[in-house]
Amino acid sequence: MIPKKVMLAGNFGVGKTSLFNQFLHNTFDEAYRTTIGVKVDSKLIETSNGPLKLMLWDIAGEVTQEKVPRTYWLGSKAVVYVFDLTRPVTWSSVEHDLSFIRKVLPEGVIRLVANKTDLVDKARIQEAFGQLAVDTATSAKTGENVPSLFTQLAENIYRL
Amino acid sequence: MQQPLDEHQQAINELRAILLREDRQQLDELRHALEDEEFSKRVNALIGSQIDFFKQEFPAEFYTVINQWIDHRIQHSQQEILDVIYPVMGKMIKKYIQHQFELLRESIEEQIQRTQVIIFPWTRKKASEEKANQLLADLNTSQVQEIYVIQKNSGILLGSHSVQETIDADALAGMFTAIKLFVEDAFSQKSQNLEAIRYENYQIFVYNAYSYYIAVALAGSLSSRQTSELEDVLIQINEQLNQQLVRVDDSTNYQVKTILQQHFTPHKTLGK
Repeated sequence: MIPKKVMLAGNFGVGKTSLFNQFLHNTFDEAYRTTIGVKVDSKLIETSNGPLKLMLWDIAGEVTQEKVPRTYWLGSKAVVYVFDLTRPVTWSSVEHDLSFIRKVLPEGVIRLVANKTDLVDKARIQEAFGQLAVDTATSAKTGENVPSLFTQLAENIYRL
Repeated sequence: MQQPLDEHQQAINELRAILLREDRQQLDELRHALEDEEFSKRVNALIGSQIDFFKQEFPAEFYTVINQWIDHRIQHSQQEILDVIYPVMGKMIKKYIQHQFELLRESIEEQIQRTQVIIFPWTRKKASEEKANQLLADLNTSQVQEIYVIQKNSGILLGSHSVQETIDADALAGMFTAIKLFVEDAFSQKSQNLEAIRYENYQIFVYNAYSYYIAVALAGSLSSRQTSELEDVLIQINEQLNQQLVRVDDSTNYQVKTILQQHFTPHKTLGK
């Protein structure tokens, strides 16, 4: 089985690695440790078409910054772009970053994820959905919507 | 306007000559005294004796101060000192190992000569040398532990062959690709490729093809002859992959693994 490469992107501290760990190992660590470089891991997912292995690349820091080699994006079938519901400053770079990703991966599937639902009220979540084309709101801490995010993504990219 | 100025200057010069007459006289006397040969001899002798005294007494007088200064410099420049010493130490260690290998070789030759029972005298030396070389070659071998065929850029594993259970070959291929891309990007060498990663007794040898690369994990070091031998095998694998891999699909893993198994048996040893 040939795995599909999926990138986890977004500003620093939005919870990319926490989502990564929650999805792969069902774990959550309260301590924040910045990712150095990149972390790569894989997980087998059952889809309606059969099993699919996702190869997740959890990259450090911002999307367009020069520290992330452009070549990291190549060959990706999908991008999970994460922003932080508690920090509206991370909402402001969404459009700019997504535009960069669309240029690098014109055929890639992009999922916009509002993370940290456990730390905000419903009004804040609604505000985010109102301002941005959010696909789903997750909590890496409680695991809310995390499995469904990746399962649906796997269904979408199975044939790609 | 020019005339009064010249007169003024002349008056100043005359006044200076009157006032400084005694000083100039003393200066002339002093110059004569300094140029006197006897004076030079006396001064030279004095300076010589002072230098001798300094040479003799220097260690006693300045030993403590200099030691303190050296201690201070060493304490505050440990990194610089290490930077200087490290390459020298490396060379010394390498020389020592080479020397030990030479001793081992001589000892093996002697041992073989002693234990040979019936060999014609004129062939004995040559035969023992050949056997010693063979034994040394046996000591200096590399074993292929794992081999991966990885899609360039995406880091997707197309197939692998391993002599042992690997934790997650897919994740390993992805992580290795990330390192490879990072190194190539960091040095801005888009047209050049990472060819090897070494860690103590292990190394990952990389053969770069057009759309994928082959990473071979080896135990032991590779001599130039072994590297050449490995490259020959990888070129053959590359040719087979190019012929058989028309597209990447679910059968790719199996196809690649089959090709790799044809060339690499478990613990295949290079250089024998």
